[in-house]
Amino acid sequence: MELSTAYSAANSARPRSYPRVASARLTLLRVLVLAGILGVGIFLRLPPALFDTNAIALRPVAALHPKAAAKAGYDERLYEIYTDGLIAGGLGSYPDMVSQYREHQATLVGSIAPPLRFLYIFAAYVWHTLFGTEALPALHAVAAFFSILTLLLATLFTARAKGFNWALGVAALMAFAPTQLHMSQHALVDGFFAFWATLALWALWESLHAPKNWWWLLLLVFGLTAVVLTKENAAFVWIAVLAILISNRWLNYGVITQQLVGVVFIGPAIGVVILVWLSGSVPDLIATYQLSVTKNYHLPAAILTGDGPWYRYLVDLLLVSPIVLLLAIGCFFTLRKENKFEWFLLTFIAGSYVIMCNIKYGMNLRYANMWDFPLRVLALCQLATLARALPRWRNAFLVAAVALVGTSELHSYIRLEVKHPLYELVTLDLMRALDMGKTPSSP
Amino acid sequence: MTARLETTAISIQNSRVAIRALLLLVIATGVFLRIYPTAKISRMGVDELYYAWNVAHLNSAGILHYPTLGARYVSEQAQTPIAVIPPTRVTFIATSYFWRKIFGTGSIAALRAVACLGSVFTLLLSVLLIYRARGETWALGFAALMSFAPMQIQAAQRAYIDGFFTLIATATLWLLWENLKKPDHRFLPWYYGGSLALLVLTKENAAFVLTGIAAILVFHRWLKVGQLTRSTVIATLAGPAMGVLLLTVVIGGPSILIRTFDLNISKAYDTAYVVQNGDGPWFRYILDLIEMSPLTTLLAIAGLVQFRIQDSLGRFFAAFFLGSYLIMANVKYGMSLRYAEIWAAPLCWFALLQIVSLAKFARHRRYLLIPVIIALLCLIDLRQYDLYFVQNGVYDPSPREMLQHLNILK
Repeated sequence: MELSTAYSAANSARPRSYPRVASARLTLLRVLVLAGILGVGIFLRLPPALFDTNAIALRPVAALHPKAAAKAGYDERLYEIYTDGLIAGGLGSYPDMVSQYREHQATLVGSIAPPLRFLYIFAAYVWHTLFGTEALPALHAVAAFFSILTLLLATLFTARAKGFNWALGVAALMAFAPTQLHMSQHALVDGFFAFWATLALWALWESLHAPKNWWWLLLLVFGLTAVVLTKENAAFVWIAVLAILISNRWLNYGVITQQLVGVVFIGPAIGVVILVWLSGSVPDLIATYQLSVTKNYHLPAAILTGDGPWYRYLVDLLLVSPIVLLLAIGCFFTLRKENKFEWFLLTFIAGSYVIMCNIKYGMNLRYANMWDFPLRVLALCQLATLARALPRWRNAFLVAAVALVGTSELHSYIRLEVKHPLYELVTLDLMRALDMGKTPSSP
Repeated sequence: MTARLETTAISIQNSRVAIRALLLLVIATGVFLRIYPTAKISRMGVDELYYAWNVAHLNSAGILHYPTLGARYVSEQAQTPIAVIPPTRVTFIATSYFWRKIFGTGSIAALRAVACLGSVFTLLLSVLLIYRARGETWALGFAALMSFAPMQIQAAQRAYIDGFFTLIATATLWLLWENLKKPDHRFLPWYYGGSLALLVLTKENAAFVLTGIAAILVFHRWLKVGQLTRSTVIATLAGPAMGVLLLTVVIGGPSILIRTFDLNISKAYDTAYVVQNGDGPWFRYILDLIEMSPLTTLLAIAGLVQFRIQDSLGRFFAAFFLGSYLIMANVKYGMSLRYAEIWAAPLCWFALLQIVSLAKFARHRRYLLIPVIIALLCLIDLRQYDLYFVQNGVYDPSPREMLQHLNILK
């Protein structure tokens, strides 16, 4: 709102003799800047394999691409096995794959990723079918592709909700977000999941503002179904969506209709029905989830790295994106009632946070990937509030501040994930990369 | 009409009496938490042992032999592989020596009593500052937050210098505030200069406080906290200079003083504990503070990042905090949450400002909401104190150790 007001005020102050030319030039400049930001963001997200295979075409810029130091991890290998299974047996063999998972999982002490994260595996299968790549490169490509889509979606969502200038700022902050870049460079499900969560959030926002538009409701159904088909963490998103609907009574984001409420339940229900079909039966689906959840409490890695108090996510986010988090905290405590969009996103974070920080041995910064976009909107909101203190230099301040935050984010990514082989975003590894996790000696 | 006015006057008078009574009760609780020994102390820390050794040496040789501590430190530190406490921390060692002489306690007990006294007086002094600046109601909220601040309670339970140093830093800040508010006062610049001299005589960290004070003086025109006079500027320069001069005399001459600091700094880079625990990025202190006092710190950050702080005391504290933070976050292997105790009063003040600002949403119920939030923060802080210092006997809270007690690291 501040950015748009500032821009309109600057425009209205111009002499009328050359408004169109100046305005057109300014618009062109802003479009070029946005294109440049998105171009850099997309480049940073390209999968590393692309620079190996297409060496000739990308050789001039290969040195500029920050290559993640970590090698493929355990979860990635599992997704590769599932994708290979799907390639070999087709969709019809999925119940057998789920059944084999249950048999194998029953013999293990800890939990492993279940094949019920269907959509990610299926997307890699489609990628393989289209481009003929092997399973693991296909998973990498899907993760990178959807990270790019998240960047574009976040920009579009902000542009529709707050205007072009805000979209420019959010695109700049999202383009360099370390956790987004991390997910684009590894064959993990969380970046893919963040895209569907953001899509569902966007559809919900639009549905609240255009309650009679069936297209938005259909998109919301699609988004919520996709979220359920992607990962168990769909429960966090769904609860956050319910929190938004409930808080609408006081915060008035938009209009809640019976259809909208119905859609919020129908979308996940469709997802569950598809999962039942993929698992073979309802008892099979329940047994699969039960095994996965109960075994997680015995997984040494989860016990070692997934525990902590309610502010565990704040600690992790501070280690990765300190400035963004501090600005977002500032915004959190100073939001005004008229900042509907910010309240909407804040409720999404708060609704999911309450559940996510209470899962025993179930906390990991990867799950917070879906907060990257809302956090950056809140950070930008705080920057806009700070810019009010400098009315004459407001735009210059905002451009400089966003550039500074973007640079700091890229620096953080390079320090954490290029110079250090960071794979799992666990606190100890993050601290080690930041020179804080050295083995202690007595004082 | 007159009767109604009288009734209103009586009810205001009654509520003032109630607030003052509550204020006294809260302060008494804070003092009790500091004096009553609750921290688990399984063994003495290296710093504590060296302070005790210095006090014991003075006790046997006499206070006039303080310069021998300097000479002995220089000869022994050169042979010791790790950095140890230098005898330049004169006020803490000397006060403990006098305590031992007067009350006949052991060295450790004397040091602990002085540290405790430092923490108690920090509470009293900072509450008095708020009381004078903003009145009793604000002082009540602030006193509650300060009383339960975990690091402040811990500083009173151990025999290390940081609580005592915080007292002198807080006194200096208060005197600067008074100087800016009362530019015509004849003696205030002298008191302020004296406290700066004491600061230098207490710990090397005086440099951080001086940077914070420099930030206040440089930006005083924009901070709008009062009038900066020539005498205040002179006191700011003369006080530390006098401190250095006294330190030179007490320690045994300029060559010993320079050699002491030189040895201390160079050895610190070779000390495994310092390298392992004193490193980190610029936001290391924020991380430490969140781990120690999560909600209070979050509220304080929110209060601070607004930048357009309406309250003049808030602006004054903000300049001090940011000025000192800038230096403290950039000292290689020189970061510890204990050094951040000088921010206790500013952080509690920012948190309180934010609580009051938040409570505006509650309109008529804000008088109920504010005490509830403050009570919640106090409980959380007390729980954190219990976790770190009572259950686990933490001596020097490093990020890794705190995260281990929070079960984030195992």
